Amino acid sequence: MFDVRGVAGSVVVLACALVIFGPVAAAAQPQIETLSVKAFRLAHQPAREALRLVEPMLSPAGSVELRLADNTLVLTDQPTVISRIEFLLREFDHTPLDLQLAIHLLRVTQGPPDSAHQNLLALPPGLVESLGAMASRNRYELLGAIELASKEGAEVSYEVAEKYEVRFTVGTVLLEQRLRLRSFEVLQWLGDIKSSLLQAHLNLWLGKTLVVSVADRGLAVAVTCAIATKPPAERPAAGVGEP
Amino acid sequence: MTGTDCPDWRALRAVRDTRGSAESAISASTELDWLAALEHRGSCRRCADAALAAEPLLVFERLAPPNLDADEGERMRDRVAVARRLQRHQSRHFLRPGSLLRAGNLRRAGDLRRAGNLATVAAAAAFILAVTALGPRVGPRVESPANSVAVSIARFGEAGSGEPGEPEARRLATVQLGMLPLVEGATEISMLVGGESYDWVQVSFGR
Repeated sequence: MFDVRGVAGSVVVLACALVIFGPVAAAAQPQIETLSVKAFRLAHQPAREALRLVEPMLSPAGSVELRLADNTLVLTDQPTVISRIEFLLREFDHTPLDLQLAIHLLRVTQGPPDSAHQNLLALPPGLVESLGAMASRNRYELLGAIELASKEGAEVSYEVAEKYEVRFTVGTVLLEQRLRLRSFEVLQWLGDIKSSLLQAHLNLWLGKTLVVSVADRGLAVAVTCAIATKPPAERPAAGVGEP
Repeated sequence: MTGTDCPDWRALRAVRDTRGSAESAISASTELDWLAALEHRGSCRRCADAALAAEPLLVFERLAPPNLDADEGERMRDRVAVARRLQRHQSRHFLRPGSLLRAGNLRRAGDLRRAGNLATVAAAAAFILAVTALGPRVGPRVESPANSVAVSIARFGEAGSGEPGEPEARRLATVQLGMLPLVEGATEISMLVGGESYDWVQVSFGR
């Protein structure tokens, strides 16, 4: 005898299967990408610096290998991820840019501020305003200032004021927005002995002044260092894609 | 206190530096002395220099607390939102489809066993196979990444440019750049004020 209920049940189950498995399979379709391996040899910028940018962009299945010997990053990931990272690397691996840097070093003491701010006239405008607004009891004495033309990758060592030296390595401009100053140090000379007041990596915003204040109990000194950069005048030629 | 009314700043500083190793009652007393000395300093010009010589960090005590304007706050919220979307996007995008399908198969098989209709199971299986083989919405058989690694070593110079995903890549990279800290390597960043043309941080190095 023909079982109507059985046929109806089959139809229902078939419809359910279509509804359930169809979308699951369709959703799986764009994720079928296989892993690819691609090596990027950087021509202009250090691959080591690019590593810290690349790593967060990787998928959970991805990995990156740094080959210092030939300044190369070897990426293993899905093609879509690699293409994103490739874009980033193309931006990163530009020919070294010329940069303008301005550094002001100030000694901070407590007391009524210099109302005329005569020695602060050379400071960036935003900084002068903030000094007035933020430090009503502090006196900022300008120890020295430098303006220098430098270049990505350059090592800078400069006596910014008597007994005060600034050292750092200019990093790579990222997406025309940020610049890393590696191992930025402010050194104070006490006779023949030098002491580091500040030692850190700084990630500047181009066109914006970064002010770093640090007080050293041991040396009984407080200094403020303002670092300003000017954005590069023109966009660099990208290294990626070059033969 | 030394002399008449002025505190002995060096002694106070020395005691404060050793606090924590002594009994709590002594520490509390030391803090009270210190607070009283700071109050005194507010009205004593002689003590200003002495206090600063003993404790250079006092020079920053009047700096304003973090004060982000509304726009900056909004920008920060945007960055967080974009970062969260990025995280969700990556989680979704990199799910293992194979495991999803396997789990689905097992779950449905259990349901069908409960129905107890072998013909139905067979028909469903045949239909699914047909859909898998012919249906345009269903892609090729899912393989685990471990079995399907396509190696395509490429060098700069072989890479194409003008990929359609570049705006997305730029957006993600920009978000990532926004998350880079201003200062790396300090043990503490105790103050941060953002302005239109400057960022101001106060750092210490654990000395």
